[in-house]
Amino acid sequence: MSKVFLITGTRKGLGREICLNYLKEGNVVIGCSRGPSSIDHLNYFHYEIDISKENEVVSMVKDVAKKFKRIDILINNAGIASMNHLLLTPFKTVSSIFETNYYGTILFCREVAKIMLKYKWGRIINFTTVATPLKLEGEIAYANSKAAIENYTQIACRELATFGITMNAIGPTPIPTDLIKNVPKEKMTSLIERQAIKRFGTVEDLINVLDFFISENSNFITGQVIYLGGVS
Amino acid sequence: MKKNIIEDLVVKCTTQILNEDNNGSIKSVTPSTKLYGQGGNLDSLELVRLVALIEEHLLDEHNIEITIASEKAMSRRNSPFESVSSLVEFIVELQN
Repeated sequence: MSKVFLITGTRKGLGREICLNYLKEGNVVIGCSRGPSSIDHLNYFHYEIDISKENEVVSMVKDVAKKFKRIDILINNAGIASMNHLLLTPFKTVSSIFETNYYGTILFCREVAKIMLKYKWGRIINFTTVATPLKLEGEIAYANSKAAIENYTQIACRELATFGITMNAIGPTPIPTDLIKNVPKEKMTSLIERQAIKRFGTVEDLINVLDFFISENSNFITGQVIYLGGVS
Repeated sequence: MKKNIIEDLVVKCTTQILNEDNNGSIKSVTPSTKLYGQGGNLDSLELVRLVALIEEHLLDEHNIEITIASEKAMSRRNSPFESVSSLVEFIVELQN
């Protein structure tokens, strides 16, 4: 049966691919990004917002609830990264990363869970990164923001369990997208060397885990973080 | 939006939440009904559902977009979630 998805960061990269995948399966997808939509599909509806702004997230989710009545699945994909030594990382950069990655995620979780609890069913999937468990040097602000998301996922899942809402997180390995286009090749190679399975991830690898979390049969799976590539 | 309409809405939503959790055997809800805190009829999860339900009705039926669980609500010395009447007063205030 077709479901209503809300996916953040759908204009490019993984978000766009994930969005196209669930549209292809016949679902309704509501997406958002700072810029205009790059997807032209009958069942796709786009909002231009800054996910770190509470009023914009609240307005968007309320509008979606009004128009679509329900949101079954939330995928908090939107995120930004920055590579820098900690001594050379401006506070503004740290602040922007936390605002988009962490605040954006928790704002959507809070607002969408309010809609989900009415139907006592919902699936929320947050995005983390292998940079967090690998303690990657040079990515301190990004890895920290994702560590916060992992901890949030593990606590929030307990608070939402009673409403039939599960919340899990996925930590992709590098997948060739915009997010890593400026990362030096040697850096990527050394990162991949630290994975159990030494290759770039693919969109299909990611969707495989998303499908698992979303499945009706996964109603006993919550608060879990799955990293791709055998990272732990 | 007039206060009496908000009051009807809060009473209706509170009745719905309490009935869902008590198999329809709950006593009637009035403005003086205690909601949350000492002597309250709602536990924390029921309060969460009540707030979400009221926000939803305000939007769907009256096109009013407010967030009840705001910093303003949480920092009050006297909680707006204490009783039906205190919540009604708070929603009236949020509209202004």
